[in-house]
Amino acid sequence: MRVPLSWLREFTPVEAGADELARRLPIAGLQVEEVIRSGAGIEGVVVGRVLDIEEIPGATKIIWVTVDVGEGSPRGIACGARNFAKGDLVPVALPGARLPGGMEIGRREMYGRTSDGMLCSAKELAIADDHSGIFVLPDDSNLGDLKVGQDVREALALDDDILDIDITPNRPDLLSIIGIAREVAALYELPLKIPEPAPREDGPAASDLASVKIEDAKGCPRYLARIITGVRPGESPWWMRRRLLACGMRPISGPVDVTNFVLLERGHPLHAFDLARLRGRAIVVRRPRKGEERFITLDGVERALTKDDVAICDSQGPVAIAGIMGGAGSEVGEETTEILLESAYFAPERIGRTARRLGLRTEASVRFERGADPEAVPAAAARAAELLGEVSGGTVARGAIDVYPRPVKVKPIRLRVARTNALLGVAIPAEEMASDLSSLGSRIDAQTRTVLRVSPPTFRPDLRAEVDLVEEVARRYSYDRIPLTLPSSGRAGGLTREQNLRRIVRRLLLASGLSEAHTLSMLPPRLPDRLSLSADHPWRRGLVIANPLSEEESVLRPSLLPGLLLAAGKNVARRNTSVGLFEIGTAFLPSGSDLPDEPMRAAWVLTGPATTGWHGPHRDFDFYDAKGVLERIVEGLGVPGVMFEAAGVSPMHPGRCARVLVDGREAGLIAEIHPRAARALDLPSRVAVGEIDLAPVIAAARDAAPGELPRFPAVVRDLALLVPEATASADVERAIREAAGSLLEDITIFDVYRGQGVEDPGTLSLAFSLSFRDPERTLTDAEIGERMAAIEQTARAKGWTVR
Amino acid sequence: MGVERIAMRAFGITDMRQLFDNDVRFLARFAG
Repeated sequence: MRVPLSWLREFTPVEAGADELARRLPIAGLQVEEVIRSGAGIEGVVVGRVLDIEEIPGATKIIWVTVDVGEGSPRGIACGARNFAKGDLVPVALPGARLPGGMEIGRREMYGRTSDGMLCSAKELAIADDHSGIFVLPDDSNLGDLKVGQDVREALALDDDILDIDITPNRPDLLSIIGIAREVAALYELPLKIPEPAPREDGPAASDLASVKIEDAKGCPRYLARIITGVRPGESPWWMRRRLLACGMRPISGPVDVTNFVLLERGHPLHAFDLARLRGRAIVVRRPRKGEERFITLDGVERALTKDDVAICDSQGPVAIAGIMGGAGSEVGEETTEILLESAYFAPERIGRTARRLGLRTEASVRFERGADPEAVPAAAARAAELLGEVSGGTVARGAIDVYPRPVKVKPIRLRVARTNALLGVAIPAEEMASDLSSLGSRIDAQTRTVLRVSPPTFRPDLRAEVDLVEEVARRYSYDRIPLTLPSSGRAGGLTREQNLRRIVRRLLLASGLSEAHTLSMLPPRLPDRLSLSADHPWRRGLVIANPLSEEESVLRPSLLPGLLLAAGKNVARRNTSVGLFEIGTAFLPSGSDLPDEPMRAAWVLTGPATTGWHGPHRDFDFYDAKGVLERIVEGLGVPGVMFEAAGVSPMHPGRCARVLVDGREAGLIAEIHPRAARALDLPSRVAVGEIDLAPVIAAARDAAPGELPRFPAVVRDLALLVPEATASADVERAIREAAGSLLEDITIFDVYRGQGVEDPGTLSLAFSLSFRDPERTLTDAEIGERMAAIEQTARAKGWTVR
Repeated sequence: MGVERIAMRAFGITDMRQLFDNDVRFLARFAG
């Protein structure tokens, strides 16, 4: 929207210049794209009267013009255009003149004569884009004191600053000078004066001269017509054309310019029909009927109408596409004497749909589809009638034909003062909010200290809910005055203890050299068969999805291990021989109720070479690597009392499988899988795996509390026991701990021996290192002897031999 | 948009399936 400041100041007495407005308006939410300085750059161009036009012998395109520029003797100027006549007023750039864009004019020798300056086009003066000929100035009658020799900037009132403002689609009301003036007046706390239009009415009533009927009240809630008779043809006065040009519109004729002028001034689109060409002198607003699909708009293009459009018809058929463009058949022209002036309100969505379908965007359609003001209809028509009376010399018929079957209602909005202040982070009292909103056109229906009831103006279709009013208050308060604060929710963010420890587990596993995998939560249903699992195996009790995307992903995993094993198999198939993967995620276990148990677990799988390089013997991952990973987790988290117990669980290797106990309860498993199962999954024969429930591990984790270092020495004793071969070292260890009591600080198995001295093939020698300590004193030999004796007694009771 | 597509942009991944393929060569690129 281009806003000439001279026009803006007609409605509000703002003193600020273009630059200041360009700075302040964005704070109120109006983005100023550009400040255009009309008239700037024109120097030394004066009004001249054409005295004579003659051909130059030998020249085909150029003519010789003699002009009076008020200097006593006329000047001779060569000119390439012929669109003017003797007696016309033209802009003359005298030698030394400057034009916008920096062009300088000098004397030129042509055909043996000296051309004493240049006649200018509208484009050369940056008034309009027209470069087809010389800009013939309006004659004296239109311009009062226009004088030959006068500077054109003064004569044409060209000096003006124009703000080019970028209007967002939610604010159709700002597509007008008055709309912008309302914002400026509110911003500077100045009065807004909108003169009440007063057309000089005479003669018969409008309703005696024409009729209006609405048959499509949904598409057209309001239609008002005014009639002007005795219209003279001709162009509009310069002051009007200058404003149209400044706003980027092309002047066409008196009546059309008047409707465009009102459109710019008030934002309400109007249309002028030649009343004599409306059959039946009637307007009927309705949907197009069968056989009325072909319609020629006033740009001469044939358009296809549909039943969804709103058509303005006369008694026979369509004469305009409502809210978009008039028809060629009823256009106002040179011979027009009677005008029916349309001022209407159309349904935004209907106009929008038709405009989009036809690919026809006009000044009118843009405003109607964004939402015009139904209450602005009478004043816009009255203003246009008033101007038509002045400009085209017509007689305005008395009154208007106003058909408004369903008055548009505005829904009041409750604005809570505290809510507004909370949202904005400010403390604006209710009275200030009320005056802010009324300065922008809202009506305050009721007001207390805590709540306002507000009826937004009909020209603000964007104000629908409380938040919209909050935004208005914020705009008036000025965004730059709203303090910056960090949002304080009262709660600082952070990870829960569980999330934190889960992250530590992830880092420990990564630090163990494993890669984190993400496998699908769904498994192929045939996997248990491939692993030859028994009919009651837990891995067969995975929950089946009712509508799986694919059969291969139809069972929720009862353990993370199958997915990891499949991933390992895929890697081996791609010759990624050394594979160490882990995953942290949930398993899904039937719970007996509607929803499954979803324990959070960590699982890992290791296969292939555990070592690379030249140092040390080659070694493949095995059971102890899987166990090492588990120990890394429990030691890293500080989980005390983790025990292992031998287990025989398919598809694991019977001799290389242990249950993990945390606080005496089963929490996981470490194993090598059975070579048969490994083969079934195309894996090498040695695949070490582990899986653990994180909830018990996390529950048992000690928060770091280093405390004091022990001040008294430990006493170390070794103990070797002969045990049956099938005995689990973990069982022996547990028996020793129980017998040793609280003084035993640490126990480590350091030797497993069979050979000389231990010849019985069913027997193994296990050697333990025991460390005793009392935090309060030094232990005596006698006390240790007593403990060792108790341990040996327990061992013998279990059938083990002390070596 | 899912987190996978953001990851694809961030890491220059051309095939989303790689994110769930668990190829150790792919995973190793995220080391460090």
